[in-house]
Amino acid sequence: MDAYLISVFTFIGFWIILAMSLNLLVGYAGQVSIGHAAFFGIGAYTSAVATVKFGVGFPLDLILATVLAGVLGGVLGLPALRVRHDFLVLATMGINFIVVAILLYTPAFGGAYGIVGIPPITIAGVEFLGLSMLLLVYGFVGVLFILKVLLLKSWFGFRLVAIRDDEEAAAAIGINVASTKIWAFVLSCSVAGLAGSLYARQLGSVYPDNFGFVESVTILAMVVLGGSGTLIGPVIGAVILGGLPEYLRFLQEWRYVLYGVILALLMIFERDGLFGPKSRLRLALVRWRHARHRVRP
Amino acid sequence: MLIHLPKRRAFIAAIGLAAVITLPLSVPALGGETIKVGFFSPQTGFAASDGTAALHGATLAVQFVNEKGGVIGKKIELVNYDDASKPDQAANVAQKMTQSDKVVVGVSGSYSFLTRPAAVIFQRAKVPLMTAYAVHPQITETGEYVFRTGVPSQVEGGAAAWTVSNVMKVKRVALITMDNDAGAALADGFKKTAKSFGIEVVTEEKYSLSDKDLRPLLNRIKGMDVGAIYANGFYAQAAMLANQRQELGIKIPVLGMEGFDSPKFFELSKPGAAEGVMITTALDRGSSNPVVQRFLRDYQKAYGVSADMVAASSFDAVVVLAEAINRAGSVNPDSIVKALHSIKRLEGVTTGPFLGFTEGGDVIKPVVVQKVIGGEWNSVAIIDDPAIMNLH
Amino acid sequence: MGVTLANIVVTGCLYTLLAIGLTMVYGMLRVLHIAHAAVFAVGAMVGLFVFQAVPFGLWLAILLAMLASGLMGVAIYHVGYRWVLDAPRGTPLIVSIGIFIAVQALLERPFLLGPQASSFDASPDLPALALGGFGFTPIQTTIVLSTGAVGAGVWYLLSRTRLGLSWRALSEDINMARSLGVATQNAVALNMFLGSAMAGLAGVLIAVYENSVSAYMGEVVAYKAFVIVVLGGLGSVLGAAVAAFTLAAVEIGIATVFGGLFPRNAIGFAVLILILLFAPTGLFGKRLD
Repeated sequence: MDAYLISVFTFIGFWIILAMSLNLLVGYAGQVSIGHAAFFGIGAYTSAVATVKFGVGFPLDLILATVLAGVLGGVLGLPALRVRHDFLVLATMGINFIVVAILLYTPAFGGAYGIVGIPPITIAGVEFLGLSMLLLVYGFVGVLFILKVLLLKSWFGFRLVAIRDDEEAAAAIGINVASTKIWAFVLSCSVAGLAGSLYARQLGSVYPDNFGFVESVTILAMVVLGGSGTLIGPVIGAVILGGLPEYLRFLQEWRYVLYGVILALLMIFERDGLFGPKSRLRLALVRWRHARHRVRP
Repeated sequence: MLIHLPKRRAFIAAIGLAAVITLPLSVPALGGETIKVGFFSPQTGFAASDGTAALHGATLAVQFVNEKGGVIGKKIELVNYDDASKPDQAANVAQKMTQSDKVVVGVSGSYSFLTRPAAVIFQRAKVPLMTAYAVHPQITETGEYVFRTGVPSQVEGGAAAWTVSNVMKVKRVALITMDNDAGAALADGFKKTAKSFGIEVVTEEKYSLSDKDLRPLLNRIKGMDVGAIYANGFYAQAAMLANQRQELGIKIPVLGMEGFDSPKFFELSKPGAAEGVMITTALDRGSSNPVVQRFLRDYQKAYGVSADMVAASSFDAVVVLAEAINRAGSVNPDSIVKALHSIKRLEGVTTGPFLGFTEGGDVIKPVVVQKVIGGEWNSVAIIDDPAIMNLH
Repeated sequence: MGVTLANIVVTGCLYTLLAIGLTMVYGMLRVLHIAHAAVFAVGAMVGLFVFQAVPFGLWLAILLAMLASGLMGVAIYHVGYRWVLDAPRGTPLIVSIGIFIAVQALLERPFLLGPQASSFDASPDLPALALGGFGFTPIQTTIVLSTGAVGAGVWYLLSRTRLGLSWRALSEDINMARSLGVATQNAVALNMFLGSAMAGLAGVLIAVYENSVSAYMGEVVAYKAFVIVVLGGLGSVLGAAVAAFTLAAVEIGIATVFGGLFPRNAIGFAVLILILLFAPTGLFGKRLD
């Protein structure tokens, strides 16, 4: 397969993982965050520091990244208990800026130099580059997708949706809102950290500005565009918005004009997202499923 | 069957016509084989100013080289990609250039955080990559196929210390530094060398590129007893510094760096604000070297603006690669690498003369000190002390 | 010391101009209007082009910039927001972001601003105002006076006119107001127009102040204006003004005392988060939907 396409789809794989994880927070727990890239960055930096400065190998660096991002995500969840809606949005944006600033100003994390020389993932002496890395990443995508399905079908999933739909009612029937919210943050941010770890290994270097406001907004756009609160929405959103800049290369310097226009127009035409509850694509999908059922004897 | 014939004929005719029309498009623009030189830089997004300048410089160099007969008898062709200041795009296009386009060599017109991911890919693919101006100390450490024609920040910082001591003749300096890697590298280079010149760094004030107000920092420095300010930034920051310094009535002389070396610095500065500012740079606009003058002239004519350091660095990156391929006599990457190391003096560049490459692949060349006098750059000194040029 | 104070006042004024416009728009539409930054940049650009065409016509440039920005704001409402006002919260935000990305990418095309910054050298005809020992430069004076005028105008509009009354009604509950007979579409359009015109004014003033217009000048505004609006309580104009000056004072104060300790933007956000922890709906906030 073409090395360029492998590279493009590997990065799309990271976006898919990020979008799925943010969707848990935004679409199911109802906590809108535009600071998700901070945890992507925390995961990436953890792997970077672990591998470059301490010689840690896979999968230990990945586990460290995931756990640390999750723990810090839980810490972020605490203020989220007090702050709501648009105020929460701004608070998460603030967390993002602060994390980037800390990464930029702390020499132990490389400071302004970032961290370079991150080795690729090596398992049993085999370096994961190109196609093997692509397969590994999509392996994670698949596993995470299944885990998400299982999680949402579980009692925890029920609590999330209950809180999203009506927090007061959920509390009234005995759901521990605070605990559920914190766990949503923990799970969501830990998966973002996992994506970060893989990303650091793929790119070979990390730099504070790679995990800023623009990236957070992009991840949110993927979730909302695809349809937040759905299983397949974030995947589609990530593929579209992750692939669009490369696909539009033929437009040269007009790329991003069209990117912005397409994003805005798609959102206007499908207010709930491309695979949202009432979207045309979802209705088509439902009809196709029904048609298939009718054909069977 | 008979009824379909006219349709089929029309169909075949249409296919034939399409093939004839598109045939010229499938032939390479230069007709015949070319030597492909990969190039990438940010051409959209906040860094597009430097990225576009880099592209312009490289494009001019390609014309320049081809006029002289090209490289090993063939013309060179620039294969250009925009990385939009995103590292994943830099990685994607690096794969494209090395695996699909099969470029012979590559040039990076991007900053460090974009160059580094691409450098890793070029190194693995064993394709020589020349970095035009990214400053991260470890870029050339990626491997033996990665080189740099831009002055390493350690060297530039050291040259700045030399300037402060020998030209400005002061002992106490305040630093105003960008908080990105370029700023950090320059400040580190300066601090390391300052000691040996007996210069004391009284304070280091960091600022972000998104800051539009240096007044608080300047005010702080005003109250300290310093003889000079060593500042780094790009042209917008340089102008901001000059303007606000003037506004606050500060007379402390300013020494900048090559990021200041752009016509935009003058355009964005208020009248008189830039006067007296000194910089270390590699581009000597007053040089008698015909290549320099021709470059400046052609750039102005082709793009309607004066050339800056970034464009000059990019130009040189292409020129030195062409020279190496010629010396190697082939497109074999190892021969090209050997040829690059064999260059001991190269005059046909704008930021030279090049005096060879270090073992690690960084260029050795003199640094020029320029001062704004009467609203124009004037050459004040040339630093070619080997001790400084070889600082790493 | 005097210089620092003047700096805080001027910066506070600029922040206020940005925040008031955004507060007006947000107050009525409840949209996280990131595209406000695009309107801001377009205003600066239009001001520059007019000024380049008609030298010494700074006032004409400001007027046309405000007009252009206002119209652009209305256009954004009609093309974008109108359809998604009752969509889930994320949708209008993403529409706004798409618009911002597209406009910024358009501005960096060579036939508009190009990727490089352009100079905006103008000397307003206002004399330097000497205040208690420290002088304000002419542009600083212009900024302070403009902000004062705008602030007074908005206060008057909101509290003393019928239009203002209908705006406040629409901000409280858009459906109720409609059923009570408030002319919605026109009021919303006018609100959008004025809020955006203010962004245009801020754009030109900042461009002249910094002697620079760039396609990317909206980047910082995109989030900073929101910090101020949220700090002020999301929808309160007075709150926005107070928050604007508070933020300016904190940023400049910390930079003056500690130097470049930490990025200024991060400091602003740190302050915001701290305040939100104690006042979850901002300094003057009362809204909680």
